[in-house]
Amino acid sequence: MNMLKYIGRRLILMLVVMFGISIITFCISHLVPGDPLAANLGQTAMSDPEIVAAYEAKWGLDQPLHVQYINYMKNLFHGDMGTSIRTKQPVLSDLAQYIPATFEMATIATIFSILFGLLFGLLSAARHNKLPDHILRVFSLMGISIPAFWLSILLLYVFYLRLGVVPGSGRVGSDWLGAKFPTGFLIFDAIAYGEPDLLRDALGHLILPSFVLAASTMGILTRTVRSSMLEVMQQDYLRTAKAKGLSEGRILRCHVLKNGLIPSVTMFGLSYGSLLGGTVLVETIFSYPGVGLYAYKAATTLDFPAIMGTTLFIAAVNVLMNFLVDIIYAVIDPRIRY
Amino acid sequence: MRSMKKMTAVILAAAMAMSLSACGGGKGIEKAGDSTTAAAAPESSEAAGTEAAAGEETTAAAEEEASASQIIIGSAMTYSSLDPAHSYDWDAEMVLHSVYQSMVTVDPTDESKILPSAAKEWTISDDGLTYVFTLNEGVKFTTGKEMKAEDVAYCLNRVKGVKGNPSFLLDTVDSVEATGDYEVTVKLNAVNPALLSILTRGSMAIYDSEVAAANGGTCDESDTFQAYIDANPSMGAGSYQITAYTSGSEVIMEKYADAQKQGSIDKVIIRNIPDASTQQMEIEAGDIDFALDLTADQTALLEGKENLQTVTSKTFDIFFLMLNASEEYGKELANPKVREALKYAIDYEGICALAGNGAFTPAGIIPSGFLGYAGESTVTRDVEKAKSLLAEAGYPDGFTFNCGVIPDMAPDGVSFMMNAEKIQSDLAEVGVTMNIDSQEVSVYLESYRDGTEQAVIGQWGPDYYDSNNQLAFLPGNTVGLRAGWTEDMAPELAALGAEAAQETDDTVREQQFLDIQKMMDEADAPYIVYLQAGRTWAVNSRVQNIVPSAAFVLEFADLKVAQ
Repeated sequence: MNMLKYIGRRLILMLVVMFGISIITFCISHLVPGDPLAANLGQTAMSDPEIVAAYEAKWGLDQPLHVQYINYMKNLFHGDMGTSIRTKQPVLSDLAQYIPATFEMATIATIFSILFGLLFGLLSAARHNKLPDHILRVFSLMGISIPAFWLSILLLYVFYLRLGVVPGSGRVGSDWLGAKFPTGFLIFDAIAYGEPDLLRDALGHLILPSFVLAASTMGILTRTVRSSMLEVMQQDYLRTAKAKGLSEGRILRCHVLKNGLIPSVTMFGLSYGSLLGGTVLVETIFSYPGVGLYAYKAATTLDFPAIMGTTLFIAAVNVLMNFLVDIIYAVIDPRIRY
Repeated sequence: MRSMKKMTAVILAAAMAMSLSACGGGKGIEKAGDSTTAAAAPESSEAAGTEAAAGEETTAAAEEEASASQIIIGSAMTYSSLDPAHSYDWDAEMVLHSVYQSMVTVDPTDESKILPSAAKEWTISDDGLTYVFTLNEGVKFTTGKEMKAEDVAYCLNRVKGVKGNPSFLLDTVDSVEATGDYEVTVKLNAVNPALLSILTRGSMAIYDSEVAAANGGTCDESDTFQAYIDANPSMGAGSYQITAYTSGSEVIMEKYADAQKQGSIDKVIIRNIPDASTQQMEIEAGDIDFALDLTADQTALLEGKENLQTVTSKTFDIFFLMLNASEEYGKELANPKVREALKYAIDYEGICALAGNGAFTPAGIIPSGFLGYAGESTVTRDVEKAKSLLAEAGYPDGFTFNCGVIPDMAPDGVSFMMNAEKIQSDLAEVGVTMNIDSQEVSVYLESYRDGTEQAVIGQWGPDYYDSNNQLAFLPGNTVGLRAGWTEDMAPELAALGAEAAQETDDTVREQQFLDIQKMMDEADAPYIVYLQAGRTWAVNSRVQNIVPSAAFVLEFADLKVAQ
């Protein structure tokens, strides 16, 4: 019952947070220097008062800021996120087009980062202060500190251009360009409609960008898992387990892993949201048509409806992940009660 | 253990689903052009008779598919729509030019020559205010409808009426009317010698007006046809038809069998590859046939590589250092003597070398290829002269000024930032400190267009291919005002510009443009034009017959692919 109350309270709080984010995003995007007209109209068209007036009226830019915000929110509650100034398509349909691509990349990246972050963290803790620990600590530091654009170009150069073991940029190869996919989630579509070629192609195109996207989170997770494992390993009950003559594997599995992973669960959940935010650079270099590339173009052309749409989407994912993490936390750690 | 079992079950279920769906033939995914192929293919195999015959047919179809030619162009797409009435980006020109016909077109080797296209001939009234075009008969859109004068009138009126980016191009057009099935009359409210040149632009494309009108198209601001045209196959009469377009991702074009000018390549794909380094790797790996956005450094690295060729062509884009002439914003730069000094401080040869193949310094604002081009600049760097002019101007110890630069912009592969850094180091040698003020594009454009920047690194790509377009640089005109150069600061020059804008005799116009540039030089106009850019592409050697155009970039119908 307590849990249900907690979930209800959190859901209401989520709405408040989203509302706050909408105000902040709207204000920041409208108050930063820069003129959407300058960014979207040609040099000579900008000098034509008729075109400028028509443009302002069409996109509601001639209204006071608070009126623009109220109109936006009114439409939002009716499921209308507005029309993109740049693409002239409804933001909702733009997002529906780009979200599946980013979702796939971020999901594969999350799998990479959790899988390797966990493995490396455990290995590092189990071999504390020995060679594998030192190597893995260097790798995790590299993952955190290497800039994504540099790593992207390096990996493309080595694995695509020189070794030829992965396909180049884009989401699919030329055979599939322009194809209409029922859901837009290529991996799902390939499995559901029996297209193994498409599955191979899509997964091939996902390997490098997902790895680059995961690199930083993987490094952070390795370090978090390592330190929480080491903390658990100092506990008295571990000494007791050792004294009882339990094998190292059993101690790791039954005592260290179970207790040491609890703090890392928060990291796992939050990493998904941060991965979504990190797609901008990766999608640009890998020519990957996702939300990141869309958000970047929206920001540079001051396409307010698109900026609002992408920010609200990413914020919603983050808020949702936070919420899920809290629930999972309560489930796996009996000490936590709300 | 239990979770392992669950995992295995999920994997098995996925594998089973895949194999079952595979038996179903994968109807859900439709490849680009599938619908066209389906319509052309026989619906039943009964006609084939025996199994052997069916087999042969399949083989023949497979062979045909294998021999179908295709090229892939890698480009950092700047356009977000391919609706002619809204499109205004240089790289959209190549798509619009190949997909639609305009009434007239230009010779790619000499853009001042206007050639017939949808219109076979035209007449201009003595007062220069009425143009009558006669259309070719029997030209069909991809929709099957014949192109008629009503389509031309609708499309041009829509460009003017929707108040989109290119609408201003038709500001001098009073009316466009279908005065017969194949006759279009365009009436002007002021003489405009550049009209024919304007009509060659991709924005002036002609498409099926019935489809447009039935799908939200109007000739005023209530028009909603853009969303439709971007989501459906194109309906023009050019050599190719857009069969799939995903904004910010790719454009797929297929040969239009009934076009007047037939292309030899079956399919042209443009892929958005925003990063130049990625483009470079893709062309080296052979995954794309054209890399359109490489910098001079990158194309130099690809020179001589097996299976690659570099193609250099001209552009009409001029790059300049704008020095604000107003006392309020220009400060020291408002002094003409200072501007003259800076002109001699710059190393033009060095900048052109950095810009790469085909770049040179024109003598004025009229680019090479336009009427009234004054030849290459004869000004060379003279540090001592620059210093003495600065001393004369009252700045023997130099001064400091701010220059707005968009750091990540490199039109035609010419990096604004690299130009700015070169100019900065050149000016430092004469004691002038130029602070580079990096700005995001929307911030830069706002203050530049408001005329509040002290100086900027700027680029001007003409709106149409006529010298009239360059008159924007004159005092009181669009660019002039951005440089704080008002009409009263050089009234004679402004008057000559107004005269040239209405002159129809080319001999007189040429002399006027030469005089204008001379007067600008004498008045130390607030711009130092330091280069006219070339354009270099890396192209796979299998692609032949490449005819680049400064106007429409590339005509796909000209291209051939070596077998």
